[in-house]
Amino acid sequence: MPSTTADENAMPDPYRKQLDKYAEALSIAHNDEVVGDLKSGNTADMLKMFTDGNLDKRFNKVKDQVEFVAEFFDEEEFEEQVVTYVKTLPLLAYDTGISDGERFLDWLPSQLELSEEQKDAIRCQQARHKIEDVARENRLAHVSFQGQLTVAEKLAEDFGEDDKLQIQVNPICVRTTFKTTALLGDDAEVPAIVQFYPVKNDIRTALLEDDGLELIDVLHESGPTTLDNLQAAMTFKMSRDELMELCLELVEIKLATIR
Amino acid sequence: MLPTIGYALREQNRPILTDPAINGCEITFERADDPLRVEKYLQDLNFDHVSIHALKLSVASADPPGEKYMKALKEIADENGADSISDHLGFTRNAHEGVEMGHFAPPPYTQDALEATVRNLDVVQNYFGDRRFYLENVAYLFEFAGEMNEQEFLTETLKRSGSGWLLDVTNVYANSVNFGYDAYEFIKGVMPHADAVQMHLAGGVYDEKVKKYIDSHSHPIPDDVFDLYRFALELSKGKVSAVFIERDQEFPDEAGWRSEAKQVRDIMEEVYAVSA
Repeated sequence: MPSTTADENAMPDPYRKQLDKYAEALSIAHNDEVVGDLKSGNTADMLKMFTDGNLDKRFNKVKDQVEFVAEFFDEEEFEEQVVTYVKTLPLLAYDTGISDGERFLDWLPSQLELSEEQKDAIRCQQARHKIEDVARENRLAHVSFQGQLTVAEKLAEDFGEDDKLQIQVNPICVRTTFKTTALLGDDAEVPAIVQFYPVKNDIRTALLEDDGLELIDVLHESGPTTLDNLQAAMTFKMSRDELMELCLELVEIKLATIR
Repeated sequence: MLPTIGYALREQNRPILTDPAINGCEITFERADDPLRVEKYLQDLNFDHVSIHALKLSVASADPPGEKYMKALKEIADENGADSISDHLGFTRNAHEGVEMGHFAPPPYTQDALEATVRNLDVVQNYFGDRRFYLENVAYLFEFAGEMNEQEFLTETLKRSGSGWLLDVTNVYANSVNFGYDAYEFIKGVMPHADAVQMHLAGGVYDEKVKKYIDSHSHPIPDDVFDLYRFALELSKGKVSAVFIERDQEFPDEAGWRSEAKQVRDIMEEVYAVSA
C-alpha cells in the first residue's frame, strides 16, 4: 500500500484559488474583488462591516505591540504609518501575539528616515519581542528556570563552597546594542550592549561589562556548571573569588540561578 | 448528570469562578498563549470540565491546520487538564503560507469546501486524540454564494467528521435575525446529527443603523436566546457536556456575573428535572 503523502491533503485547485482570492482581498479590505461572489441579497455594506472591524482590531493590536516605540515619534505621523501598514500588508497566516508588530517595525524604516534614537527604540522593542519568541520555542526551559529561581537565593549562600552546586544562566536571553544614550541615561557609554531576559513574565535589562558578557556566553555554551569548571572555561582571567562574585551578581539580578 | 456550566475565562470574571453555579470553564487559547507565563492559566482553579477554545484552526481553509499551532494548543490543554477543544466552522486564512483575515468568515457552502473541512477535521481530531473536538457554528455578516445552505453544510460536516457540535445559541439567533430564517428549525435540523454537544451563550446588540444583530458579547443574554437555549437543551438530552457563557465587553459587576450563571443553571435544572 502506498504511504500517505502531503499531496493527498492538497485540495482541488478551484477551492484553493477561491480562498486565495477571498482571503487576500479581505485581509486588506479590497472588498470590490469579492463582492460579486456574495450570495444573492448580501451587500457590499455587510462585507465592509467585516473588514472594517478586522482592520480596526488589527490597528489597535499593532499599536499596543509597538506602544513603546510610538513614544519616540510624532503621534499623528506614527498612527498614519500603522494605518498604511495594516491597509497595505496583509496579516500573515498563524500570526502570534507579537508577530504583526514585529513585522511593522521591520517595515517602518522603508517608510521614514529614522533618527538614531528612534532606531534604538526599535531595537529595544525588537529585543523584547525576540524574548517572547525564544520563550515560545523554549517554554519548558523558561518555566523550569523560573521555578529554580525561587531557591537561588538560599543556594547562593553555599555557592563556591559546596562543590556540587552549579550555576545556570537564564535560557531566555537576547542581546542588542544601543547606539545612543536615549534609553540608557546621559552618563552611559555608547555603543552599549544590553542584555534582555525575563523574570516570570516581566522582561528586564542589564548592562554588563565584558567579563559579564563572556560569563553569560560561556554558561550558555556549557549549560549548568560548577564554579571550578566555569573558571577553566573562561578566557577572561580572574580569581576564583572574583568569578564567584560575578556569578552571584548575575544570580541577584535573576539572570542566573544556582542549582 | 447535568452538563457543566461555566464562563469563558476572562480576568474580569476570574474572581467569581468558584461560584456554586459554576463547575466548568472555557479557556480561549489565544489569551492563554503567553510564552512568558510561568503558572498554568487556570492557576489554582479546578473544574469538572475544561475546554480550550481556539480561533485559528481555520478548519475550512484549503490546508489542514499547521502542526506548530496544534502543538501549542495541545500544550495549553495538557497544562490545564482540558477535556475538550473547540474552534469555529469557518476560515481565517486561505492556506499555510497565506494570509489571515483577522476573523473567521463562513466558507462558501460548496462541495469543495465541505471536502476540505471534513479532511481538516480528520487531521484535527486525529491530532487531539481522546480529547473531544467541538465545531462551533459562527455568526456572520455575509455569506458567499454556494451550493447548499448553512444548515445543510453544518449537518453534513458533523455527520461525516463525527465532530461534536459547539452550538453557539446566540450565533444561531443572530443569523436568524440578520438573514431571516427560523432559529428553532435550524437547531432542530442539526441536532440529530451531533452526537456530542456543547453550547455557547452570549448577549449582543441590535444595531439600528445597519439593521443587524451584532454578536458583540457585550450585553446580558437576551430572553430570546434563553428561550432558544431551553429548546436546545430539551432536544439534546444526554449529549451536552458543557455550557459556556461568553462576555468580552462592558463587563457586569460581581452580582451580574453570578446571576447570569445562576439563570443558565436554573434553566438547565428545570429542563433536566422535566426530562427525568
